[in-house]
Amino acid sequence: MQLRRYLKLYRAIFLNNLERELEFRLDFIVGNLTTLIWFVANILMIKILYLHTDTVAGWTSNELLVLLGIFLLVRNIFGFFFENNLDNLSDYIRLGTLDFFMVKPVNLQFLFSNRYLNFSAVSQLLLAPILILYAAKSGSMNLSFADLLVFPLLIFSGVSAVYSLWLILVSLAFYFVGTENYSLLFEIILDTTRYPLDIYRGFLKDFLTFIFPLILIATLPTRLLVRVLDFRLLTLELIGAFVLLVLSHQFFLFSLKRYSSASS
Amino acid sequence: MKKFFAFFKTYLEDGLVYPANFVGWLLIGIIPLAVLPFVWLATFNGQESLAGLTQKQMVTYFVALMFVQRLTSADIVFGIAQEIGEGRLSFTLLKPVSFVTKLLGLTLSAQFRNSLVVAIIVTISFLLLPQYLVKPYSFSLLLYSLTALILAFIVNFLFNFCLGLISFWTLNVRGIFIFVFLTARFLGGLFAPIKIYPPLAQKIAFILPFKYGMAFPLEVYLSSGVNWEVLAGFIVQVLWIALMVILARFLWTRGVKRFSAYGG
Repeated sequence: MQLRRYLKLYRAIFLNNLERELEFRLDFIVGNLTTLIWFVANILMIKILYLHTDTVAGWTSNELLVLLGIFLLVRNIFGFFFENNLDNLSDYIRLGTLDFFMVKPVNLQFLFSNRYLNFSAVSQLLLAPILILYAAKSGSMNLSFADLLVFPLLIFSGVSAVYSLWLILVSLAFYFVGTENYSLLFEIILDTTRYPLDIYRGFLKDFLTFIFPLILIATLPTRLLVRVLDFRLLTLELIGAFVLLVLSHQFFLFSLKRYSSASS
Repeated sequence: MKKFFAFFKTYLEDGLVYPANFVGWLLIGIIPLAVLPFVWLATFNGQESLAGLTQKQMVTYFVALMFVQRLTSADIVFGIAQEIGEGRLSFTLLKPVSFVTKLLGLTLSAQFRNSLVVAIIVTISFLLLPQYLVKPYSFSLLLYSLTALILAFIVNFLFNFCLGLISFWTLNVRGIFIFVFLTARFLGGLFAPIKIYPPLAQKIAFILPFKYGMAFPLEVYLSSGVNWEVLAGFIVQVLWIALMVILARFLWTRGVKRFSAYGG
């Protein structure tokens, strides 16, 4: 019963966003064109990286292209559904507009996380799978049936990891004034996950694997896809993503206690 | 000069009000460049040098690029575009200060803040990787590269000033800006040292202005003496400055005429 209510609500949100988007068609076209330019630039960067070598930290250029594809897919699924909403959180807190979300008779985190969709992510959402398939084919990687089954799970856990880490970071707005640029900061941190974590050594690698686990976003999913499908690693990926989700939810709830509207 | 300092002081205070914000900007400036030495070191695969650059030189390039980027950046494009687009330029024009003085105050106060950041980066990188950094070939070469650095700031300021002034003619400048920034990223040496590129791309980079606002001071720093390449670079850099001063004056006088024709 609850689920049906939320599905109905989500449908309303989606239609509302679609209507808004159709009002500004030029924005949709320009937004997608600029992401298209970025897409080409991203591939160019990898080509430049392999001008004088065949492997980078043990990854071939096609493997790195698959990694880029998975990164872009995860990045843009997050961008399409959640990014704008989490970016807005610090404004909601500073201006007190979080009130409008709190008074609604639905789960607060659900509502503010899903309120606005970003349609300029669409073109990359369509291009990323093509890139993955193209790179896997030209690198003659054999994708098994099991790989195909696991693929959605890997993407899902990647998106979930991005969402959780981003939520923790933007929740800092409950404690500090002037964190508007923290979403830009996370965007930049996230951007580094297009490179395999194997380029780091020592403490930095451990830090990004266990403490601030950026490895869950793209490196580990890609490794599972293009190398051997190791079930121990797969379990770690799924459990890691799940734990992060729970942690971020708890941290958000805990931080929410500090919220004290803005007006009288 | 007094007017300039008034702007300088105001913008400086403005930028330091929220420490959390400042820390955010610091990390935003550092992270994208901090990953690149790791990425490029991973392409060496045990080789001594890559396209004539040693591992040490590669690391030095990106660590030094952090300063150069912080110290030469002139983030005025969107500000100018906004002032023109929203018509607020009228207020600036009415005041007895030139628009350029205001922009310089804005930029140089950011530069002053950035030199704080630079001091932090120097200390950290010298503590962490003294064995990875190379000194310049001679003291005079250091002076040459500092000269190139100052000229690089002038190139960037003029370039972005001209770019911002395009808003006098069209309001859909976002696409143009992104395209220019991406080109600057590749041909300015922000992603890879220009030596890495194929000969043709190197020649194009030599002629276009992008490199002279970014990579050129570093190339001087890493070169093996004051050779003809360095001198030729200085000539092109100065030529671009002269050319852009003329262009900026032209665009400004034409643009303001057009602008006042619109406003009431």
